[in-house]
Amino acid sequence: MNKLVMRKKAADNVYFHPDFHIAMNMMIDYIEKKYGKKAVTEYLEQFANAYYKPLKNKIKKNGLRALRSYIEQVYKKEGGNIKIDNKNKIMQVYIEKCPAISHIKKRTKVANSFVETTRTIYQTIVENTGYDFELKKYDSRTGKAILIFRRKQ
Amino acid sequence: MISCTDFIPAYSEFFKFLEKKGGKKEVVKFWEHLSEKYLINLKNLVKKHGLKGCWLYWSKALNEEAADFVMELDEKKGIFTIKMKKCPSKGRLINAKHIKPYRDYCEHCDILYRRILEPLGYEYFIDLSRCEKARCRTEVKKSK
Repeated sequence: MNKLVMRKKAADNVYFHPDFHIAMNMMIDYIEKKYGKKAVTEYLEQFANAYYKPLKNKIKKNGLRALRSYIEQVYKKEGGNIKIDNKNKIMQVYIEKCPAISHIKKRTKVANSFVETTRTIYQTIVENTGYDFELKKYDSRTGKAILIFRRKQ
Repeated sequence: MISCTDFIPAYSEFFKFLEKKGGKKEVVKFWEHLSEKYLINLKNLVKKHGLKGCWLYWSKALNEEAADFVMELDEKKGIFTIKMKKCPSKGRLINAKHIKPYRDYCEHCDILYRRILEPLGYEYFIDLSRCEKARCRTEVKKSK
């Protein structure tokens, strides 16, 4: 019979808990089954409008550089392989595969509306910033995708 | 994809969304659902290792979440405790000044873990009286 003690400070570790992708997937699945697909987008719009407000403001002020920096930082942390082309007021993001989907598939099925965590989130982030968003390609099995952000005419 | 590092505010906003849909009872129903579907690891570890399963489960979760905590397992006394000095979830919500945490955010810990541990023969206690400062204390012990 042992006594075990573990003492940790926040600075002892890097904040990265990939199982939260599984919880996010469960939330999307739950809301879709209980309230329908429209509710998934309503919820994600509410979240993105609240949480990404500072990012929206940076995009308004600094343009796509701010968004590029955010996306690069996210995929670096998540260990995702992406390529970004940024020219003529158009930014194209090529995502080789989605780190969230890879992690979710280790344990469960990916929710049908999981794509909205990309489509609705980016649409909401760029809304009223002077840019449009298009999800040009999306493979729901891997999350391989092409995202396009364009300056509005 | 929403980064897993942005999950906590998404989780908090989800509770607000559910409450708008159907009141607090809708939020509680979701916590019960999440407990059953998400905490399979905790359930399996406690079934296999007893109280030490709690130690194994939270060793991974709290380190990945970069929590500030003291965790103790006294197998002789049959007690497992977590003294959370700064909860990474609530702490993040408090630090993000532009968003307001869901009013009863910390209650999810009570429902999620209690529903796993009590049916397995353990008493679960959580003191949330200081949760507004991202502090709490959890105790799990074998039911008599």
